Amino acid sequence: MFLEQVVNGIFLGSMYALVAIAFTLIMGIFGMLNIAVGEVFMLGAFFGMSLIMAGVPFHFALPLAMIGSGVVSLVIERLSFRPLRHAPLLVPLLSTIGFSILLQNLANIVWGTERLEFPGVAALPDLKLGSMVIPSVQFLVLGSAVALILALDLFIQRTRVGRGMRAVAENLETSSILGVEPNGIILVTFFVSGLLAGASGVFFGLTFSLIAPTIGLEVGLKGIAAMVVGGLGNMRGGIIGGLLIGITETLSVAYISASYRDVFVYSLLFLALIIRPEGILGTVQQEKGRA
Amino acid sequence: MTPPLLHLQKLTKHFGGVLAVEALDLAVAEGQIAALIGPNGAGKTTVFNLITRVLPADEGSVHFRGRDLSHLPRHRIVRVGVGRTFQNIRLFATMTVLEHVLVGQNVRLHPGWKRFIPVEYGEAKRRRAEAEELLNFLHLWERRHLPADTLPYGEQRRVEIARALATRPALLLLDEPAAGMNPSESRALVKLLQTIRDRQVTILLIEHDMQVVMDVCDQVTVLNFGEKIAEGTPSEVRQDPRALEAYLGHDA
Repeated sequence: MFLEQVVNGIFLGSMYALVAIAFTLIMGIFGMLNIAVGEVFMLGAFFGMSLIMAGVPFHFALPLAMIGSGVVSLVIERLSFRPLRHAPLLVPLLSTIGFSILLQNLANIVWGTERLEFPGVAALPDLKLGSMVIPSVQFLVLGSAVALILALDLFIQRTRVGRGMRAVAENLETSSILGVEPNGIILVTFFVSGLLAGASGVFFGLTFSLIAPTIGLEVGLKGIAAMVVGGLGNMRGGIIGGLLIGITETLSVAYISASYRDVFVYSLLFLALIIRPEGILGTVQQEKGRA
Repeated sequence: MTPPLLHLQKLTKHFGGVLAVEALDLAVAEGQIAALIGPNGAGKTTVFNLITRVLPADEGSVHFRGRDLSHLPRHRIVRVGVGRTFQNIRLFATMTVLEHVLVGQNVRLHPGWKRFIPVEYGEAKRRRAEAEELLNFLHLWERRHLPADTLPYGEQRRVEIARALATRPALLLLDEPAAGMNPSESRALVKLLQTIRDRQVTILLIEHDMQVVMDVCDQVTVLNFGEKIAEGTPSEVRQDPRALEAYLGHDA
């Protein structure tokens, strides 16, 4: 029972981790939250649902839903960040809050405010380990999440665009003096952030079978919490934070009460902020002098 | 007479009421090593920032190979052939020494789909060989896989120079390359500057270490409060009373 719940927590945590990384990527470049990542996640779930219901097989529906979410993320960049590039950082933050309200209401109009059923995907038979039963859909979710994170790591570490992303994230001015064109890199970053958030949305739908336009807020906040717990601006931190929050959530649902789960999740956030404010893998950021 | 490689005309920059650079004329000929010297706060780094478009100029122009740079976006400056380093070292904390050079090379690679794949072949592969040669040249070969910010100070400065050279500049702007170096490191730097010049790279440097300036420079320009107060060969400037007064703090 306990182990089964931990495993459940890892599945849930892998979705939070993807959302946390989606936040982290943009945080890295602007040092500011793109609150609308939660809504990109929600739209990913709805795109996936609509595609699967239209008869698109899952292995096409997932990438298409991801690309759709990536495009939404590009629109957010164009309308919420680019015109405000030289404004104080709080301004784009507020603008993305506005954007998430807009996106949530758009979803209300297109798909309605009721919870909708996310169609199941016939896959492999469920796995039985002794008394433990692990649904195959969880393998699909965890496997895809791990594959996506590994692919992203390879992309960021080994490609020229990835090196450009790291350079821009560290210092926009220095990287542009080296000839890195910042707008292109920023677009790629937003697109990748949208891909990951959208994938997480599809996985959420598959796992919980019910989706509503409000899931973006709930999961978005947990993604932010995962990012903070793991260490700001650190991809691996987002993964660890996501898993910790997923496990905390499933354990508190299993052993205490489903209605108190968020109390435990956010207590973890407070605990992290008090004991280790820089996050588990975070380092204390020192402001570097600039000439 | 061939036109200068870099030509600043009446270059002016204010910060609020403070005149940081005032109507500066400066010409650097191809193949030269030129120096910009002056007391702290004289506006030397501001001149670099104006050339590389980190800051927009209020008045005046910057011409490079006869081309006006005033309206180019910042990331295009390196494309026309101007590379630079920074007074306070600005390395990327997440990158190894080799990766710094690869980022520097980016600018010369074609912007195609190959940027998005984690394997290198063709052009990118040839560039990597070039990167390794450059690291060898700067005595950083053994360090290539180490995170650059863990290196000792002098080597970090060389990583910055390697990163700038990787862009294949015709003009290299060095902001206090000898800062924090001991005398033997400074002598090595002088040698390095000469070998960089031998590679057809013109150099404009800001420097406080007068030994380095005297040993290596063809032309020295002295700034004080944003204004050019003296110009000439190192030995001419050394005898210029205004330069001495401003720079050495001698009473007139």
